[in-house]
Amino acid sequence: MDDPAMTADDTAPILELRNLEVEFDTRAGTVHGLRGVSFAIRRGETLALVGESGSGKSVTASAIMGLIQLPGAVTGGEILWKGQSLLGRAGERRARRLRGREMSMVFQDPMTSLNPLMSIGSHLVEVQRRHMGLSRRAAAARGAELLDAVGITEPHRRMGQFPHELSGGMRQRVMIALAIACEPELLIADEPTTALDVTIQAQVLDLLSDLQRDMGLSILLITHDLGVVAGLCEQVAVMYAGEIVETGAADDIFDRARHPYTQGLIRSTPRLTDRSERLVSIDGAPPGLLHPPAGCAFEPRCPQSSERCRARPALAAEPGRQGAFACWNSTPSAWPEAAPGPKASFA
Amino acid sequence: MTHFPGPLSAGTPASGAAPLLSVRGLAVDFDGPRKKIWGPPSKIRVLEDISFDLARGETLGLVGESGSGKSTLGRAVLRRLPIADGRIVFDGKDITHLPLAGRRALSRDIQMVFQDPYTSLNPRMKVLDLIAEPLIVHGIVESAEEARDRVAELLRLVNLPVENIDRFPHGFSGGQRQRIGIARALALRPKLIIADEPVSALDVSVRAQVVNLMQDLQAELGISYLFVAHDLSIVRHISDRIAILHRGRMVEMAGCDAIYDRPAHPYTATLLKAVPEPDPRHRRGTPTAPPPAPRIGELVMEGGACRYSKGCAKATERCRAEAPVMSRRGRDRWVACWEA
Repeated sequence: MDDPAMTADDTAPILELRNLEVEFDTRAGTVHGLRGVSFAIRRGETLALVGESGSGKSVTASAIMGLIQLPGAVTGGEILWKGQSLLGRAGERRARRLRGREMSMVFQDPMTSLNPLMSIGSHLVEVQRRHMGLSRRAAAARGAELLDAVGITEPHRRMGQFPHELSGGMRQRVMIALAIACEPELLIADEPTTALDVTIQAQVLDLLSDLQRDMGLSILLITHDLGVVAGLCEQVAVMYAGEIVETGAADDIFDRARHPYTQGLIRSTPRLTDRSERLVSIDGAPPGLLHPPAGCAFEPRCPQSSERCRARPALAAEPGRQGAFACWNSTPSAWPEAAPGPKASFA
Repeated sequence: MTHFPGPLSAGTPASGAAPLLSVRGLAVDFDGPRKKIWGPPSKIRVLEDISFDLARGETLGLVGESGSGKSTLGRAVLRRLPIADGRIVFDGKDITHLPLAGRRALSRDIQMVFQDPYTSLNPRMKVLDLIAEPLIVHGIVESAEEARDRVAELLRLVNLPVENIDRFPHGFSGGQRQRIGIARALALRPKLIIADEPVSALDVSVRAQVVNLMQDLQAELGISYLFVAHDLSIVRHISDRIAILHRGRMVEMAGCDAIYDRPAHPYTATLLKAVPEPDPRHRRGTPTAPPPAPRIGELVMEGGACRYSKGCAKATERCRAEAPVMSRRGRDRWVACWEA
């Protein structure tokens, strides 16, 4: 820990994934959880990792945090923190020092990620003593400040309370306080608001956005909800079946998505202003990753698949535009304009 | 108990005809902590003064956050809970006080679709057995084999390949499982389906499949739906009218467009603002300090005040002293708010 911000150049990514592969050995065979994932996060940037269940978003986060456990293993690629690898023996030693200190994580379920036998204060004191070497007293004082910073009222009283005494939104705020306690540079938030009510979700998202601005935090936000992405993130990476299919600036992705899957995802997200009676959906289901397809993983569900799609497209940048996508036949709009009409009559 | 004057289903597809379901002044109590160790449990009123009508072939969206009583209301209509006050009339029959046998018979006409398709299907039962089970329970068939043709027809109805009939649920995706759940609910040809957050556990791209299927089935079979949801993002597409619940009380009920275009109750407006829009230029407005999450115990103490008054920007002295009653505003809107 000798070269913080001093030498780092602001445009260099603080975290970079290169062709990361993760496999899980199961009785049925090898599940290819990640099949070559690459992206980078710069300082102060918010990147949303978007995808549906099983697409590998959470596996990506676990890999970065070193939480992949047997039978899973990172089998290929690189995870670079400020240019230095976090894999291999030396890398893992480095990573152990970083995790919790320079990068920290907020999990989805605030109900199960706090220890029910420890007071809120003990959680906050533990993390600061472990990573920052603070005394118990100093850690307690700072803990109350942290609770205040995440918008918890009466922080001193809350320090003595136990997780079951707090509501879901409060618990998620405590989780965020714990995650920012050591002033990390990167916060990984894995579906931080999925378990919360919408009004509480809006508050927690505002909190994350404030923290990002005030602390210059980089955030990797993992979510399945494009609405959450639009409200908080500048950069978006879309995952499908263990790979990244499109990356780009949020505005570009929402306006001019190039991958048919991204376009389909945006189309199927309901909007409040939409009066139509029919919702649009992407028919079919993602492929199983036990035997991942050799070609494009989205091909069976794609409205414009062709012969070429039997070969797997690589993530390629488009000239004159930031971002990249993995599709042979990309068009501005792969899906038919009108929503499909009522289905033909039943048997 | 207050009663609603006039009809509660104006502007619905079947307005004029008698409603399929009519609920008036419904209240449900849960047991709270005992005051003495051997004493009777205290009563907590988790639903209070709920009134609405549901026409045949209509969909009413029930929207509320956790603790609002939306699932409890569904279970009360199914008569799976004791009713503390009020009246439920289904298909012309008063079902408020039914003996066990009557409640069993009722489940032929009212069925439920559950939120989590991963835990609501028995993993040891084949699709055939799962869907045939209600038919066996109600004595329509003797064995699952006897129902094979009916089950195959139900599978076709929910767009699942009939070859799946002898498979176990673990091989299906979430959307397919939910369709099995819907086929199971349809087996008895019910008149009303209570769908308790049927798409909340599904991926976005699959939600539409299930919602569209439910709409097709409604058009085909004329079923009514009570569609429970925890936010306003998807109910617009399926509901004819929407009722907003807050802490055990109904705060607003109106036609779909009225709710979305001109929300009358401050809580409805907050819920609308809180839904994140998938558009980076449409930045989310922060909802004005919604009240803290409801605690079961708090509901007893609140007494007369409007339950939203703590977090409400418009709250006045009257709101803190007196609970507002549902009153009619316009042709098809009911609101419980002194200031709206």
